[in-house]
Amino acid sequence: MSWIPTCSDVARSVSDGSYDEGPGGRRVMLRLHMAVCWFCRRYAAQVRWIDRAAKAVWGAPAPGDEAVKRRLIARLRS
Amino acid sequence: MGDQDRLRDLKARRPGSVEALVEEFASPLLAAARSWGLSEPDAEEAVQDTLTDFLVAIDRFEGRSTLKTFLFGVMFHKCSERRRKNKREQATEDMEAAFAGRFGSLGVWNSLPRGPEEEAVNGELKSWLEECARGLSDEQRAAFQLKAVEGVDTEDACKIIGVSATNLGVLLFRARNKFRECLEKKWKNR
Repeated sequence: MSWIPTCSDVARSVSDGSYDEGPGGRRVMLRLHMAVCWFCRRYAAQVRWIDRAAKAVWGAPAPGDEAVKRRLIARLRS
Repeated sequence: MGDQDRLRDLKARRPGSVEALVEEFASPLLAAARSWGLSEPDAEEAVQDTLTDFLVAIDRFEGRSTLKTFLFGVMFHKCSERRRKNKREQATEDMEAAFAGRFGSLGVWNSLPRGPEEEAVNGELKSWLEECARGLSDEQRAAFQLKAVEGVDTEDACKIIGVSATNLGVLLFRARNKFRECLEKKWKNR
């Protein structure tokens, strides 16, 4: 019998990054579950939001970075 | 500018090469240090130490990893050393039990997962994220920062943190679910 993922399996694969990896058959089954399970789609949307929000908070240069860079250059050159 | 060109310029002590190194890597390294819980002064000091160590040893750098991987690896260890005194030991079973509690015996959700996924990131949500990040271990924060924020590939992220690909997945699973659980609580209580 081929593997039939549960909500717990799908949620784990979304959060540990394996949703898009592994054997093709596994990926198809995960996607089939996602297509019919609104709860899992909601969870996946939350995980994507967390990643996007973290990128917005920690992925962009902070306002004070230019001053830090100038200090770093001055110290590294000395 | 590619790594090879940058290394050639730095080894030749070409004018502007140090400035170019700082321009490219300082902001991502600072962001990583902040996300790993360092204060502003400590983050700046950690980045300075990282770049200094790299420049001192530049002639011995063989380029077996990318510059980004190497620098983030050094940064991660420096940040871990700085946090070691205040490191909180997190019970790794907490997240597994909390996650398992979301599902019934057939692996189906007990209730709809709730959270702020339709909100734009404003000041309140930013402070929630920062508060929630304090609940992560050093390795969980590093895995999340490298994969979710910096987009570092799995092989490089594993080298930086010093874990296997399987362990990296476990770290990401725990990091993302700790964030989700924490944000859901704050969302419900606001």
